[in-house]
Amino acid sequence: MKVIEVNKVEKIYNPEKVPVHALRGLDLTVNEGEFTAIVGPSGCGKSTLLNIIGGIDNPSSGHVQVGGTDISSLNSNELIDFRKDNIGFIFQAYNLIPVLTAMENVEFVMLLQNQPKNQRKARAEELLVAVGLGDKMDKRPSQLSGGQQQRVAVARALASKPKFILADEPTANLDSASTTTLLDIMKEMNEKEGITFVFSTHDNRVIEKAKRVVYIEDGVVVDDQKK
Amino acid sequence: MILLKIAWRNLWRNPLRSGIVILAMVFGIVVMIFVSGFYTGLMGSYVKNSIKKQYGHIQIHHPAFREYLETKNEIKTLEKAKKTLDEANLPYAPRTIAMGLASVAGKNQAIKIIGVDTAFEKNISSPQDYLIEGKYLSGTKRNPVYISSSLANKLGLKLRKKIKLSYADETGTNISIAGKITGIYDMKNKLADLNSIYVNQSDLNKNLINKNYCNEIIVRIPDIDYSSNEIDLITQDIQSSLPALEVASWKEVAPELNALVGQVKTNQIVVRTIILIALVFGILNTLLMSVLERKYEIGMMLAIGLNKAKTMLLIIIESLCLSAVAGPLGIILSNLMIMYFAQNGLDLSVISKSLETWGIDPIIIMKVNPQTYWAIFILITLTNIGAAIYPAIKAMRLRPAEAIRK
Repeated sequence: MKVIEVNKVEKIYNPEKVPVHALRGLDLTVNEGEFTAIVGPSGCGKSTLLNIIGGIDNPSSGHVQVGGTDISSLNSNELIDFRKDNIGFIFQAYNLIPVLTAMENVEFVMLLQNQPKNQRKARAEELLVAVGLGDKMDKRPSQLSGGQQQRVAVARALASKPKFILADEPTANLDSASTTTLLDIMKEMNEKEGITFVFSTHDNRVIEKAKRVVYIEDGVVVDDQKK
Repeated sequence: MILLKIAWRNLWRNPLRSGIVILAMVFGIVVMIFVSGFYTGLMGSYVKNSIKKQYGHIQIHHPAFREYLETKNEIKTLEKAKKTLDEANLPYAPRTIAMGLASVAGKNQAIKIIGVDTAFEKNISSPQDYLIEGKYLSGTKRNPVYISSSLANKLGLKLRKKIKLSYADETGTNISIAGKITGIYDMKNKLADLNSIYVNQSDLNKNLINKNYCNEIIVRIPDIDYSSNEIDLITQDIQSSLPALEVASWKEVAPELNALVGQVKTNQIVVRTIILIALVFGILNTLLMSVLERKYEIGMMLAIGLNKAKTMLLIIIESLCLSAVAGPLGIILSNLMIMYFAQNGLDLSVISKSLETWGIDPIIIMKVNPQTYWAIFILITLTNIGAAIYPAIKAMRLRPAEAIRK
């Protein structure tokens, strides 16, 4: 079943001054349960593609369907609600709200979804235990290592029960051990619970773990390998 | 609730910056309340002294008297007026007022001759209270005169010196009495003191046609605030009982005093506005810096589903957190300050001469009513909301894709 469908998406920055073509009619389909890495050189359009798939940026032309909804037709408020209920995000850095504890960070999206307190607490605890941070629930991001912070981000991304998780270079700032732990957790979530992951990366360790690797160059898909 | 938690904790992420803006707000509140207390004390002193020494709370005259100040406009229903005031249990003093001339050794001075009945004057604030030398309207068999020290200095007079007082009788004919200065007073109101001379009402009346003449009744209401509406109600009550006379409260008798009270209120609004405008920029700057520093963080929150209204609300709550700290702190400090100055007064003896010109006590007893504290707290809160709007819009308009771009 198709979770993401990208059709002839173009993204041009500064179209009136110095146009920069980030994506040039890109097509991509991601199916449910995939563990997809999007790779390519810097400036090839990986992050732009992820932003457009995630509904935090608009394409200049073309269409993006997520779970059957054409998100390129949604206005900004509709997009915010759509993101909240359908997409989990893991960013490279500054993933967490620094003034909230790990537990509160995970609860945050569920709060925005108006989930009842008991349900929120139970799910946040369950997810933090699942990412190996059962003993760090009351710690603030500044009291956690980079790897632990990314694991909290994974838990937070999963909290809203999204259709898929988008991760923009999630291991870029992590050491080897943290990268391995994070990848193992994501892989386990993917294999056991069938959660769809799409991430951009330069990291060979991530590429090795991916079930599918999509290569982008100059704003178009140049290769698509399924393992 | 989560927004309040985030806002409150964000406030303390940069304690120095938040501390400085909170301090500025506390200072602003203290200054606003100080100014309010000072002006209220200053005006209170001025108005209270004017009421006590000159006007009383209420004055009763012939309807034409205040306009023309002519002796012919006497209170012809004096007994009825006295009975009304006795029944209302109000302290009063009937007077004879004559606009005239004081002459001594070739020097003349236009003056207001106030004929008082010392027995009645005790009921209100008696001029006797301000005696500094000699005796109060006694000590000589013929026409004792009670004169202010400033007028005595101006005319080169001393105790036991003679003075001629000229005025008009009920028909407009010029008459005069020769008096002897038996007492010198100082009411600490230079402008009024220079123009007023007290004599016994019977001495002033003896050359008039009506020996029981009276053209002014001063009423002083005990234990009442000068701004109380009760004064107007009592005025209306007496007026309805004495329709042939004019019964006027101090606000009508001395409209310049009332206008001054209004002017002081306007001044306070101006001072408050200036302080609040300065605070708006301080708060706005702090919040804007805070928003721009957290661009990535806010972008991330927008990306994961915090909607624009809640993003805006978050910044406004952060601003309200500032007033939640600064407001009570400023109010408590101000209250302590006002309590101190209400007890001990603010000593302005160094400029007492200038204050005396206006009849203002050199020790200003400050007073701030509870509504002022509330008004200032609400103003500060509204200022915070106002100052938060631009940073809040800025935060709301952040585009997540741009905000989180590394």
